[in-house]
Parts: sequence; C-alpha cells; structure tokens
Amino acid sequence: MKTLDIESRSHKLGNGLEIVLHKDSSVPVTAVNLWYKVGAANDKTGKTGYAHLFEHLMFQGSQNIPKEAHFRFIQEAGGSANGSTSRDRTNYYESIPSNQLELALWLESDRMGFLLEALNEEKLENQKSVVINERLEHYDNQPYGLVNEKLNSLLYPLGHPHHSPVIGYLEDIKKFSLEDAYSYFKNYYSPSNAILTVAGDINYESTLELIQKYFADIKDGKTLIEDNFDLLSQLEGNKYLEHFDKVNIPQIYFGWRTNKIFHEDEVDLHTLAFILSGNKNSLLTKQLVYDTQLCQRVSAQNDLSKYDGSFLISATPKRIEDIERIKKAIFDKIENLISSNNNLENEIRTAINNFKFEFVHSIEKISTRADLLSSYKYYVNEPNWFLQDYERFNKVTTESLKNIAKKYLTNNFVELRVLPKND
Amino acid sequence: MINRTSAPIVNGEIAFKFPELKIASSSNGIKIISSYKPTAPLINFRLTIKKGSIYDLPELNGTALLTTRMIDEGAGKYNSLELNQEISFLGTHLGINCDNENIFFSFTSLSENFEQSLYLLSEIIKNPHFYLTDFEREKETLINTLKLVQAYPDFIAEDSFKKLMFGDNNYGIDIFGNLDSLNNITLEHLKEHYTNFYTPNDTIISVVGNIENEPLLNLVEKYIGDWKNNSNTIFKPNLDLSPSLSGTYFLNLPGSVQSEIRVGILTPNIDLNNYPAILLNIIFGGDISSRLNQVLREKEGITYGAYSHFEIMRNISAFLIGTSVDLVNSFKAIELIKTVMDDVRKNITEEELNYAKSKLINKLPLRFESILSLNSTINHLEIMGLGFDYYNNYTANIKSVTLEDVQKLASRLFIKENYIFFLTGDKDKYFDLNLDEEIFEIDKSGRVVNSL
Repeated sequence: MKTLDIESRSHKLGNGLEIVLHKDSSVPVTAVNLWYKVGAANDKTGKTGYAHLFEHLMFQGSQNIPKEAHFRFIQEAGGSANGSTSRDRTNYYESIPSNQLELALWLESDRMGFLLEALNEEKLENQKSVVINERLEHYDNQPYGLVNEKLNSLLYPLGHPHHSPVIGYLEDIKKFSLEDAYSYFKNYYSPSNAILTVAGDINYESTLELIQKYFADIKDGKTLIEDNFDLLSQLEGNKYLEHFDKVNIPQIYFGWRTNKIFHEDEVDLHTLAFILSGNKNSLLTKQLVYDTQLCQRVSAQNDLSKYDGSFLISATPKRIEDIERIKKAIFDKIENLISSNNNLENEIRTAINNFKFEFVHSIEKISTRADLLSSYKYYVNEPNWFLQDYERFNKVTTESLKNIAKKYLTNNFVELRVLPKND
Repeated sequence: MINRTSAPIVNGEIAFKFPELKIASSSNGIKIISSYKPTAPLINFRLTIKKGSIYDLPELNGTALLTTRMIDEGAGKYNSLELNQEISFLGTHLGINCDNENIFFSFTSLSENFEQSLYLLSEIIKNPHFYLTDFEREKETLINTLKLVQAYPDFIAEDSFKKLMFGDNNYGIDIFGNLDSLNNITLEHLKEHYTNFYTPNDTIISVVGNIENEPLLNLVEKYIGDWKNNSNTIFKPNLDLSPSLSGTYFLNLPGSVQSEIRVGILTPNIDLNNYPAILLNIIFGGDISSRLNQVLREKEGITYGAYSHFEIMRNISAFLIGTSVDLVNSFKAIELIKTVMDDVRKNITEEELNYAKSKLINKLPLRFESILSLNSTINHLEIMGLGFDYYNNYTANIKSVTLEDVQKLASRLFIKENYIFFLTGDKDKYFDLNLDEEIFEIDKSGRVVNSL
C-alpha cells in the first residue's frame, strides 16, 4: 500500500537529541511532536503520578517563557498544543500554521533546556492542586472511574511498573516536592532521552537548521536508566474483587497478563480482541448481546506497553442476576474458540480490513502522523514503519489465533465486579 | 548562543481561502454540497435530516434517539447481523445519531469502498426493517444506557441545568427523554416517526474527500435519488422561552467528592454572525488562556478547567459556563466566576481583543485540515443557514470588531444578577457554610423543593 509508505529523514544532534522529519505540503500545517522517554512506568512506589504531574509543570513557564504563556503563544498563532502521559513516555505537541514552526521550536527548546530556572514552590503547589482536581473529576467522582486502577493493582504486583495509575494516588501527589521536581527533570528530561518529530509543510534543510539553532546548545544530562524490572510473570492464582460504586448498572471485567508492545504475539492479540467484540457479529457480541441478550455491551481490549501487557474483556449485564451466566458464557466461548474446528478466515479478513482503514485514517492528520513517527522511532527505531506494521497482520491465521488464546487466556486471571452501592 | 529572550519573528503570512465547494441537487430535491480533497484515499459522507429530538411528543421523548438506534438493525435484504457484517467487512465506519435539531448519518470509507458503503447506507435509510425482536432488544438497551449515564455527575448536572434554563421549552429535554417516556415508546411509534421525519424534504448531503463531483452526483442519484418524499405530520414543538430564572440552585448528590457548577443565561439575539460575541467568549472563558481559567485554575488551583461557550442552535441561544471543583471550594468558585464577570464587564483590554482575533483568524488553516473537520463545517454552515461564504468573509468580519463593540456586549451580558448559578454536590459535606444569599434546592426534574 503506497499510502502507508511515509518517507522520513532521521538525524541526531551532538547532545543526543533524535530528530525525525517528514514533509507533506498538501496543507499549510506543521506538527511538532516531542517524546521524552519517561512515563508513569518509571514512577516509584510512594511517588506515583510524578510523570504526569511533571507534564503539568512543563507548561508553567521556563527561563524565557512566562507561566502559562506556552498555550497563549501557540493559540495566538492559530495553533493548538498539549501534552500527555502514558506508561511509556511523556509527549508534548503543537499543531501550527506552517509559518509558525520557529515559534514552536523556541517554546519546546526553552523548557527542555531552561525549565528549572523558572520553577518555584508557588507553581508546584498550584499544579498539585490542579492535578488533585483532575483526579477527583476524572476518576474519584466518576462512575467506574477507578476500574483501571483496581484492575492494574490486581494484575500487577506492588513495584511492577503497571501497578499504579498514571495519574497517581492522592497521597503521593500531595507529597511531590520542589526537590523531587528538580531531580525528576535532571534524571529524565535530557536531550538524549527525547525524540523530536517535525512533520507537515516543511523544508527538510531549513527545518533541520532551525532545530539545530534552538536545540543544539542544550546540554545533555545523565538519564537514569531503569529497565531492570521483574516482569512478565503470570498471576499465581485467580484474583477476585467486588467494588461497590455509585453506579446504577453493574459491569464485570476479566483481565489476563500478556506481553510487551511489538512482541510477535501482538498482532494475534489485537486481532483476537476484534474477533471477540469488534462488531455485532464478533463471537462474544453476537452471543451475549444478540443471541442470549444477557448483555447490552461486551468489549475485548488488547493493552500492551513497553514493559508488559494485558488482555481485558468487559461486559455490561442487563440484569445483575445474570453475572454468573455471562462469566460462564465468556469462558465457554474462549474454550470453544481454542478447541473447535471453526474456520475464522472471514473474521480475520474483516478484522484486517478494519485495521487497514484505521491505519489510513490515522495518518490523514499531520499531528497524528507525527505522533506515530515518534512512536515507531521509539519502539522499533524506524520511523517509517507504517507499512511493516500493517503487513504484520497478514500472518494471522485461524491456527495462530487459537494458539494465542490458549497461550494467554487459559492462564490465571483477575475478575472485577463493579456493583451498585446501596446507600 | 542564540537570543532566546523573545519570540521569533513569524516567517511570512498564510493566505486562507475556504476550499471550493460544488452545490447540486438530487432528483428528489436533496441539496448536495461537495469538496474534492484527494490528499488521502478516504471519503467522508454526511446525510443530515433537519428534524431532531425537539419534535418528540412529550410523553414519547427519546423516540428520535431510539429510532437512530433501530434503523440499522436490518434493512433491505439484510437482517441486523448480515447488514453489520457487510459494513464491517469494508472497514467502513458508520455513525447514526441525533441531537435536539438534527438526525445525522455519516460514514468514512476508503475510496475503493465508497460505492458499496453508500449502497448499504441507502438501504438503511430507505428500507429499514423495524422488526419487533430488534426493537425490544434496542429499547431495553437504551433504557439501560440511560440508567448507566444517570450515575455520571456531569450528565445529571447538564440534565437538571437544561431543565432550569429552558423550562418547558423542548430544548430543556435531553435526547434520551426519561425512563417513563422511553417505556411508553412502541414499535408503531418508531415506524410513525420514521414515516414523518425520514424524508428527503428536510435533508442535506455533504461529501468531502477523494471523489470528484460528477461521479459523486451519479452515485448519490443512483442510490438516494429514488428515496420518496413523504407528506409528514409533524408535532409542533414548544419553543417558547420564559424569561430566564435567576439565582442560585442546588441539587444534592450524596457521596459526591466534587461539585459540578453550571452558570447560564439565555441570549436570544446572539447568533453565529455576532462576531463581538465570538471574540468575547474567547476573552472570558473560551480557551485555556481565558480569564476564567486563568483565575480558577492557574491562580487559585481549585479546578482542572473552567470554560464558557455560546450554545447556538437554530432556535435557541445561551451563554454557558461550566467547571468541576472540590467541595470545599464550591462557593469560592461561584464567587470567583462572579468576579470575573464583573471584571470583564468593566474592562477588556486591546491586548486581549487582539489575542482573540489572532487566534480565530490564524487558526483557519488548521480548522479544515482533515476531511472530517471540513465536512463537519460544511454541514454546519448549511444546517445553520450561514452561507458558504461564511469563512471567506470571516477574517474581515473578525477584524472589523472594535473594542467598543465587545465592551458594550460584555456590559450587557455580564450582569451576574440575571444568571442562573447551579451546582451539584453532597449537601452534608458543605452546607455548614454561612451563606449570604438564598439557595434553592431542586430535585432531578428541576422542581424547587427547598430553600437553604
């Protein structure tokens, strides 16, 4: 597929900053996308949420940029900007009219090089309070808001990089000190621990010159490397938790430990999720929503990261008394998938057609394409990996899906039931 | 060493021109607007019927929404699962939904799958089955979905606040209706709704992507051209608006750890051609750098975000403010919102106005980058009757607004005594404060039940 052959050029500055450039002048828009190779997986026990809180501090101004002026500069220029924190990385991004590229590079370089000069106690306390409210709004005060937190704490033992929530626990957020912020920046925010992608309506040579102008003189630091986690062990037994929440409708969740992102099993796991719940005819949806009508929704999800991964199935029962029947139906369906002689070629073809559409659709916007270029550079060290990523799915067969289901979904699992709290 | 102390000089200007549109009609009278954009092998198709949930009968609220949930459960020669398999096999993403004013059908497909996707959509629109077994399942699912979302504090807040803002006007009713009205709906009601509203009379089509105008028109004619017009019997919605209530209202949500705050006023004379209003919103609360967010989040740190917007639809307009804050700071947040209103009413600076103008004008290239965003805009321009020159004239219209225009509007708009202030939260946790104004406690139907 020619559409998925995305040409790019890679460079590395003397301070270690990795650069990816991609030119597409079909619209006068440029995306700047900066990945720091640190995320919530690097948060320590008792210091959860630090990666995310630090993302907030990056918008509080640096030596030459006043507090909150980052957004103002970009928005006034007609662009948009934000950041996000995942387990594996923290990214910062701007979409801008292409004549404003230098502005975005000036802003990103100033906080990469000179953040600490402007950081103070007042800014830190302000953002701790903002993040506490973010946690209250999006998790603590939301029905089902604590589901992922509960599931991950069951799936992964204390100390595992996926055990705690990305946003962190309330008591840890409150403890984050200015000293912590200083050492966090020095440990993880060095140029050699980052990937800068610039994509869109650019000129390769002049863009590289601009990047050198703003980033080359930023001194590199020593990044704290922590890849020695004890990972990939399976659960020692099944785990079960009932969580009573302010909800009207129960939800049930099952989770299995799986593997890392870009592991050879990933495409089978991804296809398996689609075949279980990707459309109305998928195995679980057809049985539970259409044939028996025990559920009003069922969903399977493959969630892989740099250090580990999980496979989740969730269902919304129509009646609370049907939960045990639904559980049995889900496990029977998995068993049937593994042991029957059913041919799944048509389902696999449908899944791959959907993935093909999603690939093409996802690269239409320059900002999404820039983020994927950063992602491929980070995980497989090759930014133009769109086509290879898509073609990986051609190896999926009925047999490989059965094998992958047997390999992971017959292991020990966690079960979470979110049930209405009776006040 | 480079000089980092000031922002770099901008490298030239980008002239903006709204993409070229082609306008045509199908033989059954549907207006077709299209824009050829071959930057990706994708096509986005939208068909909008300008009849949304405000036309639901009061005792049958939720009919429009339930019909959108039912209409793709079998059509033409396909039953529900067969139809879904056909669409899914193409990888096409089909969406069917409604709001207060419109019913929306849309899909994005690879160019190579466009014709087959359009054929399947046409079957859904022209020949839906409406079988009883599908109806019973979908009705039960929608009722359960309503029960599920009724646990979300922001849904509860929006639902109750709408009732306060719009009273008996049909815009005060959520598209879900309520549990009683959903229970009242029968399959016959849905069939009647389909016959009355799913007709080319009030329909427009807009298409953006990798297809030129002539083949597009031929395909639309082939698949949608034989969709018959119906002479419909339409319930006349209540669009009367009583003068807005004012004061502070409270809904008790035991167990909440935050307050949802909503503030609003009806603005019947403000539409999308009111450029001072568009600019004033940016200055007051329309983005992260606005005064409201700067005070509540960046200065006080009592919220994750506070925003405002004009809710402008075909028949109503209102200025709305929303935020979520921890319980301890609920009343402080309300006082701060009032202070920001006072401050903006008295003094807007030239610098703030210039910022708002630059933001809106410079953002135009980004707003229409993708086929989805462009088609969504085209659709919106048509259903709101704004004309297709709207964005070609936008820069000049924004530039022509003076500080006096915006200040005059602010002094008229931000009279805090005219606003409804509404909050939800756990009464037991914060109602031990000394309040210097009366607060009316309401129930979830918007009825005042107590004075605090």
